[in-house]
Amino acid sequence: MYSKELKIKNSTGLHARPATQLVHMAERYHSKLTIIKEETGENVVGDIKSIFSILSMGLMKGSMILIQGEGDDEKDAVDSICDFINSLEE
Amino acid sequence: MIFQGISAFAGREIGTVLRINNALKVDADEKSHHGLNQELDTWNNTVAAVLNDMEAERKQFLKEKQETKADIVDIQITLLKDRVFQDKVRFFLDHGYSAPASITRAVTWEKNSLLKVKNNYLRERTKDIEDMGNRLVSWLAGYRNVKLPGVGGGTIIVTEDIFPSLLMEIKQGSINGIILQQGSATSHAVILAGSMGIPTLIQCKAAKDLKDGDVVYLNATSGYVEGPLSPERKDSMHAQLVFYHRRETDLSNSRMLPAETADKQRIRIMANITDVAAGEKSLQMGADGVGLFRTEFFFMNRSDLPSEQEQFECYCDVAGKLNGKPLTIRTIDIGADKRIDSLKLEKEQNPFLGYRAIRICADHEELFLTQLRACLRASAFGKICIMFPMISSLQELHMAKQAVQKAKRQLQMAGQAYDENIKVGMMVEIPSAALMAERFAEEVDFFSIGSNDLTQYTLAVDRLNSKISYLYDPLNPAVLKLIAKTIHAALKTKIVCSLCGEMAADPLAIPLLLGFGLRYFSMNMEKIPLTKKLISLLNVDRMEPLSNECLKAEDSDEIRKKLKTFLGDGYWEWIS
Repeated sequence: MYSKELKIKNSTGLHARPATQLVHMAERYHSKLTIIKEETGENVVGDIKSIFSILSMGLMKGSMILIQGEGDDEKDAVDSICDFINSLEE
Repeated sequence: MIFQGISAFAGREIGTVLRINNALKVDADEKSHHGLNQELDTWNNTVAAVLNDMEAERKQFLKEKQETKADIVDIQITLLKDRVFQDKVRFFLDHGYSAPASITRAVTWEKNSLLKVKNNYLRERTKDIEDMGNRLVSWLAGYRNVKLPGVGGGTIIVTEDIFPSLLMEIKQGSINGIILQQGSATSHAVILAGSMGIPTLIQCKAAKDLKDGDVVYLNATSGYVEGPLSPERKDSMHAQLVFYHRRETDLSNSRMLPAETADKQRIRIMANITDVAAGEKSLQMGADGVGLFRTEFFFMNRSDLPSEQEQFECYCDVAGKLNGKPLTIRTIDIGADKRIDSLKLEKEQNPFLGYRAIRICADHEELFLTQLRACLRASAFGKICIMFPMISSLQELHMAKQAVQKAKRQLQMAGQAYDENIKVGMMVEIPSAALMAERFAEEVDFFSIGSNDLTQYTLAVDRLNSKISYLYDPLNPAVLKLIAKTIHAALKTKIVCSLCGEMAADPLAIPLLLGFGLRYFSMNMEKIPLTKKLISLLNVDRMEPLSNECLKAEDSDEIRKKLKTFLGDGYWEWIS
């Protein structure tokens, strides 16, 4: 298992278009990929290969999240997903 | 009949109403009559076929370089392929529901879970989910092509709310307008309508009374639709429309010229902006720079405070796009009415007179210094001016100026570059500041009159309370006296004075302000082309006596009367 923590910096958060791109990216890897958001002591977990799952987490600017991968290409997958989220602008 | 709505994309057109029903009605309780295996086959075939259609659509849009449309289709493809969604449909199929009922149930389920999210932008995405579901059930019902019947030149679509897929089929220029009984400015369909240049009215509930074939006049600029029109009324509106379109072309063509009065006085027209993208756009609208950059957006809708680096990058970004024109950054103007999550502000009885803006900065020194350092660092890369809101006393101004000095020292120690001569100014929006304007003018590089707050504080009228809105009047002679006093103090001390409230673009107020000696106006960028035109029709020499006379008036009615008689038809034909 491999994971990385990061903060969402773009102003509209993980809205439909970036979430779509994120799903496309995650689909290229075999690993199980999850987003974990801590919310008032309770963790909310989402599947990065599902757009419904990502959208319903309501991730906005400033949200701290953990990207976690489990599988043979976990490091590659988590690193490229983090790079992608960090590169979001608008 | 006039039906009021909210403008989502401006424009005026005459057209024939075409009412459409978006979604097929599906009985969500319908049970399967064919058994599970056959329903599963139907479902799998439908998904494959609809996906196939959507992929083809997306490729076509990409080929035509219609990226916005291609992106929206791509989002819907991803929604349809989604395992969570497909599992949900299968769950309902397993429970004996028919394929259309299962799709409808899964869509409702996912829609409801998205509606729980606190972010309005994300909530709007439920429309994309419904649209995707509608594609599926339409296909099941035998519709292979959802092309709109009856769309042709001059159609105005009237409906409750619209799906993006419907608009995607419409060719640029083939419809005159869209009227939605509901709708939201941030939904994909409405964004798409804007990008296609279609005048769009939203939240026009009364439009349900319009019928197919009614001829209507849509004025999405002022936010209403008139109809049905009689043949005579249609002819006269048509003549007006020709006039409006010519006027708009004229304004658009002249917007890049420098603003100048008829007697050749150079006037600067600046933009009020609230986000990064608006900086560049304001130049395209003909702005001479940014007179007010509201930085509150930075602090809202997020759970942490923005860092110095983040703010610095943003200010540099905006300043860089202004080609050396000034960027006036107003330090945060937050308070109990504009709350932010990261500062736990208590609810107040009287937020407009409460703990807000510079008063919060006074006891959150690090918050204030962080923003000031970011502004200063950006001044090494562009023409930045710093402006303090809500200054009511000299002590407050001294506190703020000392903070700027402290931020400068901190940057010096850290070896960071900044413009040593950066201009520092203040908003004049509290009567005490206007009354003391001569004294304040000695201490700052510029004034910016916040006429909205100045009006509400002078007249003790809450500008958000509709019951007393008739009392809220920037042309009240008491307000005008404070404005004139502030402008005169700035002229006497030879500092720059601008005005950044709604008044700056009010056709009645513009001549008065010119007469008082105002030479810098800051406004919403949409208003810039018209304001430049109006200014070009006015003579400063003739406005001065008029303005002085207005200061002696008893009330604003008298002032309005004076102005209306003075300004000729040549002026008024640009307005309305």
